[in-house]
Parts: sequence; C-alpha cells; structure tokens
Amino acid sequence: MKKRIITVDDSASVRQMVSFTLREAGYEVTEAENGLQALQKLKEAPADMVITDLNMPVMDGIDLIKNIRTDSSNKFVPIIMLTTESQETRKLEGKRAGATGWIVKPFKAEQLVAVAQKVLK
Amino acid sequence: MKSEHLQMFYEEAGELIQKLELSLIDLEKTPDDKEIVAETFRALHTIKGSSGMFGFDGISGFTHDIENVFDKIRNNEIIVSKKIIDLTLEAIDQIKLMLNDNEDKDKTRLISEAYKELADEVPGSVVQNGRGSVEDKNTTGELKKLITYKIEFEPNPDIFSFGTNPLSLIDELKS
Repeated sequence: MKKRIITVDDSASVRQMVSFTLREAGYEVTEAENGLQALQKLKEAPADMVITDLNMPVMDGIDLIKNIRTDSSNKFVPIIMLTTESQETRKLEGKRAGATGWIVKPFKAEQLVAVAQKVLK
Repeated sequence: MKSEHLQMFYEEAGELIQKLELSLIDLEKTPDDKEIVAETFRALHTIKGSSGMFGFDGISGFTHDIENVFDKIRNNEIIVSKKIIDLTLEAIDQIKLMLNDNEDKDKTRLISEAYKELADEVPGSVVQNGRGSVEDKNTTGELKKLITYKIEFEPNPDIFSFGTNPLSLIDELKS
C-alpha cells in the first residue's frame, strides 16, 4: 500500500510541484492550501507524513504543527517544514512545536524525495 | 520541471502581483491596517518562495529585500509611508519585467539598495524618529537619493529677549 503524504502550501505552483515529485516517487499525495485544510484532510484519513509551508493564511504552519501534536490520533505523524534561509526564528518555533525536520526552499526534487524516503523507510 | 508547472507558476505570480497592487492601493488609504500589511507580506513571501523553486533566483532575491521591509512593518519597526508604497509599486513593475525576461538591472539594483537602507533603519524611524533614508522618484522617473534627518532644537527659554526669531533659523535650515 502506498504511503500517504499531505503537502500544505498556499502557493499552488509549489504544491503542484511537490505533489508531482512525490507521486512520481510512488507516494499518494493529498494537497492542502493552509493548516486548517490540512487538519480536515487528516481527519478524513490518516497520513504517514505531513510536509508544510510556514507562512500561510487562515492557519499557518506553526499552528498546524501544534494542532497535530495535540491530536491523539495523529500525534506521532512526521512533519517536515518547508522554510527559507531567512526564517531561522520560525524554524526554531516549528521545532519547538514538534516538527520532525525541515527542508530549505528552494530545494531540488531529489532532495525532497530523499527526505521522504528517509522519514518513511 | 514540466512546462505545465512553469505555466502554473506564471499564472500564480500574475495573480499575486495583481493582489499586491490592490493591497498597496488599500494600504495607502489605511496605512495602519495590519491585515493588509499581513496580506502584502504573505504575497511577497509566496512570490519569493515560488520564484526560487522555479529557478527565478533574481526575482527571489529581489523580493526578499522587499519582504524584509514588510516584515519590519509587520513587526511595527517601520511605519508605512507613501515612499514605501511608491517604491513597492515600482518594484512590482520590475518583477513583471523580470518575469518577461526584460529586467532593467540598474533599476532593480537601485530599488534593492533602497529597500536594504529602509530595512537597516532604526526601529520606528523613516521620518519620525531619527535619520531616515529612502529612494525617491523624480519627475523624469529616475531614482534619486532623499535623506531625512531628525534635528532636535531646544532653544534657550529667553531666546526672544535677544531678538532672535527661531522661525528664521528653521527657514535657513530648510534652504
């Protein structure tokens, strides 16, 4: 059975690129535009990993991580943050909130797949 | 990268640019509106992130400089001024040109420098508190340097007894 990944980003183009890359690598991917949508998708079906941007409207990545970590059914799902070089403070906030790791934007498709394979092996 | 992904990037960038322009017009009317500042910041952040992902490093770096200033506005370290709005509208025009591979590199550099100077300002500055420095556009559309100084003037309480008119001192300073 394919592993399921939820990718959360308010940028449709980045979301599409991430989804395409992960689907090509053999994963099932669900897209969400913000943290709240991601929580709804998680309620509908559990995920094996969440990849989230940090700055998003409605619910940002940090609040999403906090919400996931306090939800008993998804408490231990690995969460990877997509950050930029300038977001050092936000990265630390995300780590404190319970993120598993991060990928710095811009990243290459191979990097993304390597992280997914490492986390989901 | 597939061409459909690139197409999606162009479409999204176009929409975000349009959104940015509208936000800036609103911000000019209500410069204290935190929600508009947050929307502007997010649009810039998304343009920066997606352009980096799609290999438009020039746009990503340029937008980073603008984003820095709006991050400071978001954190109340800089106040919104007409100059910032005008500079940002001009920067958006540059981003459009960059997307069409028709960038005016000198102008991009000048605008970037202006944002860097703004970002380096003392918190709460620009005009009110301390020395501010921004780029301004003259009538020919060229960028020229405009520097604002804070001058503290505390005259002696009996200044008028000596026949001095403090207003003429200010007029002299102005000239």
